[in-house]
Amino acid sequence: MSWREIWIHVLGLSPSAPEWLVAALVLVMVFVFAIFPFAALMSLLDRKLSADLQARVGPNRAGRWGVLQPLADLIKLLQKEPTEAMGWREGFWLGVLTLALYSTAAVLPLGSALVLVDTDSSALVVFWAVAVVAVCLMFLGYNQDTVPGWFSGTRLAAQALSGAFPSLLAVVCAGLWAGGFEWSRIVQSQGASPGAWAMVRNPFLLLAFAVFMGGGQVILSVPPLGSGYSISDIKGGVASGFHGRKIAFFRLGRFYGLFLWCIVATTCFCGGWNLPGFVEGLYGADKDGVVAQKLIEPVLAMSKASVLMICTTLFGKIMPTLRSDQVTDFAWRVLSPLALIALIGTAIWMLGVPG
Amino acid sequence: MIVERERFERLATDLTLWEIGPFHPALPGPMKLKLTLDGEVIAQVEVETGYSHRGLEKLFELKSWRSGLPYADRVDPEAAVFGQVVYALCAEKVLGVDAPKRAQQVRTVLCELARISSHFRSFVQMARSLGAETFVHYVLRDREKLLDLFELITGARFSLNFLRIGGVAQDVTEGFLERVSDVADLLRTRMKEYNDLFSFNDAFLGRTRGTGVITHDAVLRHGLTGPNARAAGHAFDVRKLHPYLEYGSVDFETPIGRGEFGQVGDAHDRFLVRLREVLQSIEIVKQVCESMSDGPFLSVGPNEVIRPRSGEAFLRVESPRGALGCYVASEGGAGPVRVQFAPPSVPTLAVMPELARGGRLEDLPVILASLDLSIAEVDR
Repeated sequence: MSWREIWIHVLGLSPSAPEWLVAALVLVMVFVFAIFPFAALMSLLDRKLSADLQARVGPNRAGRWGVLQPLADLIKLLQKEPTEAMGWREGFWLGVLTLALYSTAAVLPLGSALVLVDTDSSALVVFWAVAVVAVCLMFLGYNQDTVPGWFSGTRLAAQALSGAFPSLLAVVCAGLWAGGFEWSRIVQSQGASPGAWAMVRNPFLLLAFAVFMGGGQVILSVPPLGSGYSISDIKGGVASGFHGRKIAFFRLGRFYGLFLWCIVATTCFCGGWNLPGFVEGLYGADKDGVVAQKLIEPVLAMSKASVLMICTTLFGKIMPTLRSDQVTDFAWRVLSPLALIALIGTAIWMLGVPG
Repeated sequence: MIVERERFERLATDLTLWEIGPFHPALPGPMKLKLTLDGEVIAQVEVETGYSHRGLEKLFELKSWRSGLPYADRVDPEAAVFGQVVYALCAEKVLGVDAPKRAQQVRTVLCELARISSHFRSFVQMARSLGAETFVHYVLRDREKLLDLFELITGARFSLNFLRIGGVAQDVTEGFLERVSDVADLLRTRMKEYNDLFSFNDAFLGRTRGTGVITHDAVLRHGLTGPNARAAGHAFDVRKLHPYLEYGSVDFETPIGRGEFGQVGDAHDRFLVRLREVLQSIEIVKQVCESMSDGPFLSVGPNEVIRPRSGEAFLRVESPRGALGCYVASEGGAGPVRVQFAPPSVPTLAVMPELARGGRLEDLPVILASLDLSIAEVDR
């Protein structure tokens, strides 16, 4: 069943419904029922786990165990009125950034029923989006016309450039192993059990996975490689001009960037949305059974991504932040050679190791 | 690092002028830094202070000997007890009053607990400048225990105002010495946790080794004292060289910087020296608590009249930031005619532009945090 048939069945639409309408409805559903609730959940988990790690209480006021804290934060931030009007340059770069970032939802590898576009360059589209976001952030920083804005913008652009090269090579490793860059092909080349994941079957793919995650932290400026945003000389950097509603959307964008990265890592190296055999056995082979399985796939993929996100975030909470030149040095001098080793090693492994 | 700096210095870019402050999260207090930047390399730093000037020394001239004492608490609010100790010692010398041994011992315990608390604050500053939030919370959690001890003995957690001319305000409360001993034992075990999490963390080393190096020559030129000077290998400690309170009768060492991971006198050395000083302070506290003598805690009662004499005195104590000097002059009146403090943060602030020059902008908060400046005592 194609994604269109599945969603026409789920939504009860006419079989003749135009494809653009179904795609639009699916994207709305992805954001409303998957990404936004997941962002709230991850925000809460991040704050709770960080609090546990740091021997403090954490959010406990809004709702039982503070579960409504993300909602309370969102409502508070949305209620804040902007203190100054948005200039056209800021509006333009924010608009481009938003479009580039969230357009990736069409190729987001959440499950076979949610990949609306699966071309032979799907795995590479994410780099286009990240590159556009980096350029937009750079210009947003410059547009602030403040020293923290200039430095933050430049640092973010430099980091994105340095992190993109090893990350791209890491994805090429996964594509090489799978024989193509379509999400479906990459996922099908792996199995559901951890032993059948790409990063377990080939040690060089494990290396590529580590490089990809490290590269992601560099590109997205996630602590401890987050000097583009968080280092105290420019406290806030590009984000220092954002308040209230803008900061709410900025945080959502930061979350989405990391989520995107982790879901790609999951798909390329950790088995993606492959369901274990027993799940397939729970449902019949009829249309309803197949649809039910397709709807469980995103839950599995997002669970794996959430583990990666939590590990990444907690790592950043513990480690001191590196200087931006140390971050770019790390990307060029450590990650890039490792990515090359992974690529060459993967190729040799595929040639030399039978099966 | 030096080679790297030379490479950066050759960059031919326009200079950027940037004023940070007087209020900014990267600064240790209200001050303005006028930076001239070549790219991200600091070409020149000018420091402007005076934003928290309170006319503190003049206030002492308007107060009596006793009523001036609470103001000494405000010389350096982060290590309040040291201002009181040095003022009380000077006043006692001028007025010819001796504090009993028990009071001196209590003062010593308070000083060392305040030193640990102040050093913990500097660790927090250091960790914040590096974005290491977990370490911040760990240190603050332990610092709370010290503030609890202050509350137990003085009723206040921060500005203690516990000293009196001729002793201390009250005797130690019941169970205080035992709790001090327990907290000291706990802190000793925490040091290992700090080392595992932070002191020898590669990222921390990468940010601090070779950063903001204070040379032995700079120590002598600027008259630096305290942990900053000791980290540069200059083993000057007032407690050892000119013992006061009970320091002459306790056994402790003066840690100095050895450049174990970078250069002698760099930011990492300054951090390590403070960490090791915390351990020494724990030892001092334990020794004094174990040998605490019985007897009075105040030689001059609050209602007893002190007969002022003419004279002057200058004394120094070892505060967490270095040698804190105090000059007191009396003409036999109800209060001093002149009180002047010589705080250690003044020379430290003077050396700061030298350390920052040629470094990267991102290292500036680290340098500032590693110097553990108190702008309150600079401005007074």
